[in-house]
Amino acid sequence: MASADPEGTRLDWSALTLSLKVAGWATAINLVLGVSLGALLARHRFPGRELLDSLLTLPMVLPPTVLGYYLLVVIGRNGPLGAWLQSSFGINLVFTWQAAVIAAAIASLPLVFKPARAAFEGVDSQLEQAARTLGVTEMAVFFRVSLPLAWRGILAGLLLAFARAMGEFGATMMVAGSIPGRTQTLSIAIYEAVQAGQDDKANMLVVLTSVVCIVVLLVAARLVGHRQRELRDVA
Amino acid sequence: MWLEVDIEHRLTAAGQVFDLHAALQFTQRKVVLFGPSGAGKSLTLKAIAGLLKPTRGHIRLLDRTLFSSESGVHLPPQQRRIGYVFQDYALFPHLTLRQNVAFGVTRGWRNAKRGDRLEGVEKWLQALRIDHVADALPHQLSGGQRQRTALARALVTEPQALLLDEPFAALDHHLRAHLRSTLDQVLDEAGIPLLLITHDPEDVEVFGQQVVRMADGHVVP
Repeated sequence: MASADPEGTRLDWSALTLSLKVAGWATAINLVLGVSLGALLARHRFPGRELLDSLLTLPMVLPPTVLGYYLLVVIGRNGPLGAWLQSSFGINLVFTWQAAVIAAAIASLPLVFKPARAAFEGVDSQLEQAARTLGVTEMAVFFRVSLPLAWRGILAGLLLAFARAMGEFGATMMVAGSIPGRTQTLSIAIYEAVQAGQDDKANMLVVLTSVVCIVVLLVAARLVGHRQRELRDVA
Repeated sequence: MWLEVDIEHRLTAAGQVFDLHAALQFTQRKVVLFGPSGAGKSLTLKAIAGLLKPTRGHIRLLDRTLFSSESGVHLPPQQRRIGYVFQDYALFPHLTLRQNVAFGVTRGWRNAKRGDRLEGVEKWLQALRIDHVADALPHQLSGGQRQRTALARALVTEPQALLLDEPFAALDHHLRAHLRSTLDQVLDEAGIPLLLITHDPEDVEVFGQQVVRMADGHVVP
């Protein structure tokens, strides 16, 4: 059994904080992106609406390695976005923690926009019409009626997306690699520890990850349960 | 004449075609649009409020053109200054009764706070005798209280006209007579023109200074 050296312990915590940072940013991006897309798909009819829905759902069903490959094609040195970032700002995204954020955000996007769409569709559109006849702007209709009524469903999705982002492995490995302290997230650190035969380290990281995910799921279940009780009260 | 409507609209749903052709001129302050369900009354009301864009025609309220297919005018509901009381009242379930009433006079992206007291809001809460339940949520109220909240919410924005979609249909039968006279009294005091749609002859008796009958999407003489 390998003993936990002080160096190893320090790295473990860096993997946790990095995972939390990556998942936090990915969730923040999806709060804006997922909620806007959910609202758009729920309330606006346009050609290709269901195609867009399918495309956005792809990350949920595609193997993460395929997702990672697509991302490399786009943000890699020779990719359209990557080349532009490199020539305009001198930024190279590949093998940075920001690349891990992008990978985690895309992988967890369906978990936000799907429930968000369902939640917005569940809002009685007559309430939005009533708000319009009362003279408030479209933005105010969204922030004062649609969003508060859809909020709990969205929140549950955001928490699941956070957990999914914490666990992202395949795509992250491909675009961000496994640089300890820089891009080595919890799930990647576990893989590396097992590969290196560091069982103690792997055990600790596995327990840590499980605890974080269980907490997130408990909070999500509580929020969803609360919503169901609330709806029963109204009915 | 305070309202002139001449609109055509075609609805297609599940292979069925419904043609609405509503040509109406309202001269009296209290008008009832009377007819069976499916006559096109609600569609007409929605078109007047701007919640539906007719295929063709025009709508004029007092001296303003709200809709005209000819000159391409289609004011959004926000700019029409028309109060609308929905059949099931469409109260915001996440807001207290007072916040509901304050909705249209609160600017910005945030709702009024629970503790906010606005002069116009308090005036209408008292006038409609719902001030004692103002901190309750809509689902905690009786049907009559909900109806008066919807009415207060519309009136506090000082609309130029009020549209009422079957305002008594969701209420118990024995409550209707009482609430009719309350509503009539309040609206007389407010003095704004109103258009009420109903399939209940008793509504016609109370509110029908002018009665227009509709059936199958057309005005019946």
